[in-house]
Amino acid sequence: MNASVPPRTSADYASHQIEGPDLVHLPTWARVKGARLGHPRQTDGRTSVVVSAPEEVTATPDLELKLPARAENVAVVRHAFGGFAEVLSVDEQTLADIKLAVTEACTNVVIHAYEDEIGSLEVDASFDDERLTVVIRDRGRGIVPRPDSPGLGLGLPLIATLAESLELGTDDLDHTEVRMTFRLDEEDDIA
Amino acid sequence: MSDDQELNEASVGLAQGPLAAPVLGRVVGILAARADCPIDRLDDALLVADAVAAKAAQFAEDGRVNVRVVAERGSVELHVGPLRADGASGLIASASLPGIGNVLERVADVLEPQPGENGTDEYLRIRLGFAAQRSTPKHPEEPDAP
Repeated sequence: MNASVPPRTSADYASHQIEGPDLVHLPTWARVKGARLGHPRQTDGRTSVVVSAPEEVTATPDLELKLPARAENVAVVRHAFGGFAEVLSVDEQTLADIKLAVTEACTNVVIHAYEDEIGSLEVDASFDDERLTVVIRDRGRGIVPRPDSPGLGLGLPLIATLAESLELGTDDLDHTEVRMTFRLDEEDDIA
Repeated sequence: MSDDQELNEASVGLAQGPLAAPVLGRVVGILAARADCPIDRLDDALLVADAVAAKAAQFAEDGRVNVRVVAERGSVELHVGPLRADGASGLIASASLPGIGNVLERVADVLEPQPGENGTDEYLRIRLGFAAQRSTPKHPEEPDAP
């Protein structure tokens, strides 16, 4: 298996092996939470190490959703996130914040990412007991200033307010990413 | 669904577990509703989504629930996979319920295993057809078309 190709499942990790004299600069996928490095071995002057993940760790998100970046599909994503309420013990206000932030990020993709063509809108979500991480991804022109923007420019500031953290960037394939995390275990501050 | 957007689709990948059914059901439900699916077939579509969410991961190559949902006026299709060899027939067989029979066979118009790209995997195509209904009722005061 090619070490430059990220593994998709825990089983994939078992067959991943990195070879080369430099084991410090590991590929990104080998540095995911929970990944374990085997004992380095020397064979014919080359060093190799097997990368494995514990059974409970998955490299892939709990939810992957890919749709055409059309306005009607923003509602599909929002509706899908409503399904989290049936699984996560999260209060209504937090869920409303999550859905609003996700809606804003998806709307940005529909309005700004592509010029004429209808590209893709990709949504990943992963959660544990404490946090929900949502990544909204597109293959458009990137996050750039737009003087002719039809919006008020409030989307990203709103997301930053609602989310615990917000990162704007690109993934390994240079696709534009908006990465948000939300705390799921916040205590109710209202007395 | 407007006439210039007859086709809509979504690819959904879900970890096996409690999240699969509520999320897949919602995606299938909203796409089917947008395709003007009548309420009885919408219920059937949700039944299929629940069956797939519950069982598909057992037959999937990566242990996940992977479904491409394609909705157009008159039908909604679920393409489940990639599944391992004979996974499509296994998934169909797993949808049998005591006293009811096989949910997929009773509800779907088409149940068709399809070969995957690498020759060893396969997909299960599940098609539900329906007579598309007008999604928004005509206003009582709306004049009849000449």
